[in-house]
Amino acid sequence: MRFIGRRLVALAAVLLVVTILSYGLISLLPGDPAILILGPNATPKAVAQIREQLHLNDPFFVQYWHWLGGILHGDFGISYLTKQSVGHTLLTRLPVTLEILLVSQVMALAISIPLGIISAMRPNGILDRAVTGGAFLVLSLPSFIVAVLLVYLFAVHWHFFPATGYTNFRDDPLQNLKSVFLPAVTLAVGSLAVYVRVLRAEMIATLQEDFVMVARAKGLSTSYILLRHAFRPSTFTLTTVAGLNIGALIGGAFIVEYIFAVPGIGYYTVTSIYQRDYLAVQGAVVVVAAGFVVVNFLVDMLYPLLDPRTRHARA
Amino acid sequence: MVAPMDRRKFLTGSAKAAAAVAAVGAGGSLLAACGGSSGGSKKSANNTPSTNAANIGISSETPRAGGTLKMGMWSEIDGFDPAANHWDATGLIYAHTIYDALGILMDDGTVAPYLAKSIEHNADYTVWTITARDGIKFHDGEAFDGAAIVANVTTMQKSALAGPALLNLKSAAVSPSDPQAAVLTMHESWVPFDTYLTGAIGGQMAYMVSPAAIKKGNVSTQPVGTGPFIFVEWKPNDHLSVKKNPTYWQQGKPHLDAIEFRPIADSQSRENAFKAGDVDIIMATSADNVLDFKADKNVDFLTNTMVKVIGEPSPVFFQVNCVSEPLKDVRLRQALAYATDQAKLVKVAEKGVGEYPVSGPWPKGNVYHTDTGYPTTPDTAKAKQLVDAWSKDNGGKKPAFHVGSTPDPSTLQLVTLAQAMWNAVGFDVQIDQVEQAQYITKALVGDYDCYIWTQFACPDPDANYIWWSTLTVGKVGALSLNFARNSDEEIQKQLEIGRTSTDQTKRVAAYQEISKLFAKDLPYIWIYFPESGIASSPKVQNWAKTQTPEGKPAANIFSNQSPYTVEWWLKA
Repeated sequence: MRFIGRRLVALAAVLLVVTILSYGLISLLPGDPAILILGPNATPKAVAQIREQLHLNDPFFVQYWHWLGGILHGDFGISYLTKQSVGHTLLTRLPVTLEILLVSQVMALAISIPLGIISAMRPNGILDRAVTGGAFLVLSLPSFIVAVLLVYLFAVHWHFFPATGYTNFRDDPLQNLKSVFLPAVTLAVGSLAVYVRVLRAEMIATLQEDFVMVARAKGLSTSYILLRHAFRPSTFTLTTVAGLNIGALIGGAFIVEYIFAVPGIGYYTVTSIYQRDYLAVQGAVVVVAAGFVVVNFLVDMLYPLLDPRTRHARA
Repeated sequence: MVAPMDRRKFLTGSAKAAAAVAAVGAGGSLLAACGGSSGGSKKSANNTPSTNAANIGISSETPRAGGTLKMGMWSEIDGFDPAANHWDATGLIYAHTIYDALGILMDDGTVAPYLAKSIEHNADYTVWTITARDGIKFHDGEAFDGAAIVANVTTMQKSALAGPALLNLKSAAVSPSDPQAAVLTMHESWVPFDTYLTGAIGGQMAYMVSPAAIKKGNVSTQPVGTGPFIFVEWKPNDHLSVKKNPTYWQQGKPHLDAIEFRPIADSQSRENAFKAGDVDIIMATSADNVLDFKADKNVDFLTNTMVKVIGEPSPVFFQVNCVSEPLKDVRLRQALAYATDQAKLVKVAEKGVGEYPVSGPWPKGNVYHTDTGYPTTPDTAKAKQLVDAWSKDNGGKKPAFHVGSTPDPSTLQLVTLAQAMWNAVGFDVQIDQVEQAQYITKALVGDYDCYIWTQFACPDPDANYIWWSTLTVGKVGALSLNFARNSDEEIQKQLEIGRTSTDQTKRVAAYQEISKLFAKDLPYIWIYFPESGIASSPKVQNWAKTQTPEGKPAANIFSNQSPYTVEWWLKA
């Protein structure tokens, strides 16, 4: 519990810094943020109103305090461009991004775990070499290149999947899966190569542990040893990497969502940047940064479940 | 109007200015605002003959009712309120879908009534009477009548966006003799006023909004018009959904059940979406789009250079601040013009997609085009001579200035190339990357030397009055709608002739004279007229068809108006 408590305090501190930095974005803008938000034709009355609304006449930390109070209640402000609630928009777009990230990670893990285990069974064997070579090849491909190739082959050429857009699961489950498939594969490709390498290395090490030798001596089958004895302790690094990879995935999602015109947080952020919709960018940055921090917190919480030794060590 | 990068962004920032402007990207071009090869005028239109592309997007078959069409848009808008939001080509398509414009531009350059039953003026064009068609109701059941027109016009007049374009409007009132009519009284004769009613860029006042919706104040997100389709849902940067208006005033129309518009900002993604069948029709805005679709025989593709364009297109050019040191010396502006190689800029930065040479605001074939004497081919020796002369008078120093660009890569490429051309003749040019939001503000207050720019598309040159007038030149630090701050009394005189003369010959002569004066004053260093178009699946019919409610063919979709979705239908 003390461990969880310490992590929660650290989480709160990091989130606080994240929100301060995010809020500071608007303070770093050249000129009057109110005029930037309203445009050059803004009337003095409108400028005064927005300054009052954003507490821009107050000192920085007073402004921040008001803003923080707002976002804690889900009030991220109103997009000056669309006149729609930024909080509501983020709420509608977050599930789209989460679905793509989730599907991509399911794909990546579903492929990388068997490959990692197979590679570890016979290090430097033919299969291992093929998997390792493939992983290096995939790692060398940037996500935007993968995306373009996938679109060209599976959407433009063969028409298997849509090239752009997103269908809500409630509207059409099959079409939903088709619409997230290519973006998810694009993100999964980069992840799975890393996961295969990490799992392979750790499995090889685990398979040389004494308890594995004991299991073998007891005559247990290879598959049983691999899955029941060696796999779980070998996922420690994999879990860490997967957690840290969330940051890269979010960055990748920005590019992938833009290329596939998927209306998630990434697409929203990129278009808001282009449109200089500062409140929208600010809100999106907070959500993304907070998401990254929270995911890594959850990963930290998983360690004791995966490896009881860490529990004892912390105790 | 602005940075050659993205019209929508420019318009977004330009508020007051946007009332009569069109902005296109240097990399991508405008649709409605750009015309490739000709022009027209209010009273005549001796334009370039149309090409054999005349039948693309126009069907002779009987329309089939039903179906949902998906269209890929090149940009997103900031809302649906014609009095408050900034529309580019995307916005105009939306507007023609949910609203109706009072008038429609015809292919002889004249204006015919559309939603209005008639648009008439008195002998000296100081009073205009717009009469509403009988029996038309807005989507919310409100009646469309003289009072509705007055409500829309007065809202426009009060708006920061459209107000400056309506400075000549003295009053608007319902006709005492006809409740269906609105009487607009002008301060002075306004001969081409009706072109503002066709709903082109800068003519947002043409679109009629339900007075009840105006009162509610939520038109920006909940538009209510008389148009062929009713607003259903808008998720910015995702989609706009509209459904058929079952009680539309044009019998038997619209043909489609629904339309889903999908903004796909990246031009390559938009092209991929079209090729994958995600959308049925798209706006093709980049040079790559244009080249790809021209080579694809399975796609119906039409661009602004394939048809006879009525009105004025938007050129891409460098706008010079004529009161800024050292470029306030006309010799240096002449040197810039002589040093600029239009052909090389288009070939390198735009892959050859774009029309040049450009010697003024109107392209060859346009009724207002004339031989201006502007140097359309580079003469570096002459440019060096002019720079040297200036240096000699200024203690031997190099003329140094900053050229502004938005961070958009294609725009930067164009500007960097121009920088090299100018430095080669003795200038010391630095590039300033300016964020779009600041770009227009800096131009408005004169805080710049030279900016890459694009502007001036309109059905009639009078719409550019506020951009070229000496009356709108402000001091540095104060707002100036004449961004170049070019004060030329002769231009002002010609603008007045253009606005008030009923003699089209005189009007043409006046604008041709303005074009020559630009070549003398050089507030604008011309580059090219962009090319853009629409690509459609063969199943989409009549997407290029424009006609009056009575069935008379109107000016094509690239003539400063946009596609009329009311005519669209899908083949089985």
